[in-house]
Amino acid sequence: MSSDPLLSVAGLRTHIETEDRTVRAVDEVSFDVERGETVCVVGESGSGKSVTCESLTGIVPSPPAEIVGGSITFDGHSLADADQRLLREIRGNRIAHIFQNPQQALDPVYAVGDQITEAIELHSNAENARERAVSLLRKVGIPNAETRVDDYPHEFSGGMAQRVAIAIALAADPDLLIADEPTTAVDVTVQARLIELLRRLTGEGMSLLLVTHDFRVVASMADRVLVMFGGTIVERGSVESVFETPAHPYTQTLFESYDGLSQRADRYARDQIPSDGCRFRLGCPYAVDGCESGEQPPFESVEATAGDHSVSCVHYGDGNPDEILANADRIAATIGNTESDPEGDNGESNNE
Amino acid sequence: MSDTPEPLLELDALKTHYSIRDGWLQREVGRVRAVDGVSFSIETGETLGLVGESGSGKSTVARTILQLEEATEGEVRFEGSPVAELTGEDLHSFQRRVQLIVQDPNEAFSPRMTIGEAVAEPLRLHGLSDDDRREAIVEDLLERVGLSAADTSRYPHEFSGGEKQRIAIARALVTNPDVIIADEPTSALDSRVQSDVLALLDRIRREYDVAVLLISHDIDVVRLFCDRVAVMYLGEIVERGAVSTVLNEPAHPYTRVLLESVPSLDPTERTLARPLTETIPDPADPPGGCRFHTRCPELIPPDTVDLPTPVWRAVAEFRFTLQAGELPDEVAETEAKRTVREHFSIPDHIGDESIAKAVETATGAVVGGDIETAVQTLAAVTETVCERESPAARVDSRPVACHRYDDTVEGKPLTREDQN
Repeated sequence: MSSDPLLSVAGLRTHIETEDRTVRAVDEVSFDVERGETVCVVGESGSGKSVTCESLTGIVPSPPAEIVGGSITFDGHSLADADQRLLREIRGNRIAHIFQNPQQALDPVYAVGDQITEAIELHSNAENARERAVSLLRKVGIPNAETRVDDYPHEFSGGMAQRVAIAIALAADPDLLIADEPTTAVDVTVQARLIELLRRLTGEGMSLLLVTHDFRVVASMADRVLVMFGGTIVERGSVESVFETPAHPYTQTLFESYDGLSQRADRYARDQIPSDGCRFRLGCPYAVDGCESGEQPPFESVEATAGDHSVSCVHYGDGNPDEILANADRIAATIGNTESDPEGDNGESNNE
Repeated sequence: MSDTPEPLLELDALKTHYSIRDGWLQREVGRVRAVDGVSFSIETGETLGLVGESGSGKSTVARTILQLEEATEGEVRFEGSPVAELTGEDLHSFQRRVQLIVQDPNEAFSPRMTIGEAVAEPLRLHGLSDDDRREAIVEDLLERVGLSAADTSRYPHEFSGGEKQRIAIARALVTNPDVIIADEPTSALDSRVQSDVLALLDRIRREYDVAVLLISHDIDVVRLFCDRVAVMYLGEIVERGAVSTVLNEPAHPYTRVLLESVPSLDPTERTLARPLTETIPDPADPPGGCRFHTRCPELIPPDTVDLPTPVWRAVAEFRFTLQAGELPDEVAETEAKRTVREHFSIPDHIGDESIAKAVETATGAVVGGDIETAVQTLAAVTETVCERESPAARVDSRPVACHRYDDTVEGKPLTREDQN
């Protein structure tokens, strides 16, 4: 890359203090977001994906959470050790957040227009704040913006409320939008329109850091993908390479849930997540002794694919990943065929 | 249909309407037709998926089966007997034999009850008073769903969402039911946990030969779990049949829109379905004819109109976008008719005189700010069979409520080529 990335995170560590222990919620996480790029962070609840994103602008509640290490560089500014004033300025003007449930982000007692103008006035001294609020509602595709601007949050459907939340986020014309499961609570038809809206905004040059558990959403939007488990990134690469060769055993189990009922159900055990070595080793079908050593297996490139696709797994690099890669091929073939090739009729289905 | 005289559970033209009341007299001012003529049946051990957007009425179907809502018309029959007429021991038996699993496992359990007590509760309610037997049954079930007998004395907050849903399955099984109604049972769970819980439910239902009615907005879940599927839109079933048929060769345009709204797992394939309009109409005032016609990308043109599919669709989109109040402001406020045409990709030349004239008048009305006139002008020349008559066709002997499959109506099912 010729110029510096918009956002650069290196060795980020965020700990959360609970009653009986310290949870290493984010542990040595490093990634970049380029200008205009969409980076998707995928993982399950508890993987650290949300805490990572909330650490970036310091909105993670502290205490109990505390950023204990690493650097966050946003357009030349260091955020990890920034004072509250700078953080507030960046958070409002340059980086915006939206969340899964827009109604939580909206204040039920104020008209949406007031909430947008408040965001505008907070970050600039726009004189025609109301006009700007209307134009923001238009930009996110809310019809009759002129009258809708006076409506209250409960008068909007889930999908429309999320658009309002996006309008508020856009009030300060941010360079980076951090969206945490923004389409999880809406119907697929509504999700499709929200995906198109977000794609349009990134097409206009905004960067997007999107947190999701849904690989379908990733496939529809991402340029690059980070897969997280137990507070660490386990795999990263371009969306094409990760979907073509899901290389980490954990990524593979995530994909497998799209292609058939789990094989784990019968040997179900509560997953314990270790706080060193490979965090996934207790759930991993390929675990060996070496998985326990060190902080985290070093990132090795996945040779089967070009580009910067890399994986934190001891079987790569000096190891032998053939078996894992064979499974990756099998998964890629299956998910590519899910539309036309169902998992087979067991002969019991009864056609009316 | 098979030869068995009485299906296990049968819905016959079921309607569940809610009154909308207003004023201090609480007079009925309207009715939400949440479920509006739904029929299907479930046989012993069978799994039926019910899919549709929120507001389609699928959860109301579940609540009406369980008698949590009163049916307005039609009936639910269990082993041939109308459920609404059950009393005494028969009603008790029905309640024991049809169990519910809800979406949010946190709502399913009292925080003050141990999970042993929670799972045993239905047994107690249904009169099993022997403590030791109850305990033995509960411990056995917890082990079957992947937990341990020692878990009986723990409280709900000590379990993860996936574990709680396992406990909910154990509790649903404790009365040895014939039917489990699962309303979005895995929507609140991570995908891997979701697939574990579904696999468990699948194993259990085979072991116990339980029928499952799975209500879900997630087509992946239905594809993996169900034998048959019914697709609901605004209180009605638009299509049903075997999962392999409906989800791989969807016939109803609404089913196609639903399936094509789900992003592909192929990152190079990013096209998403585009219905004519976004808004789901108000179930208190559903559109006439086929309820999906205001959004249908495959709307049938009037007999007299012969236009290429994309042109016809552009005109229909123009009309229904105006009608739904979805016209983007930048188009609504333009002073150039050209902008309106371009927004809907309506070509300059339209090979049908009356439509061409109406489009010209309507774009003029839009520019003049008179949406009402624009809608009326377009409606006059585009009125189709889809908005006049309720469809009831069959495709390969399965019901598909779409005029495209009705031999008495002109208009054949669209192929992929037609659509582009």
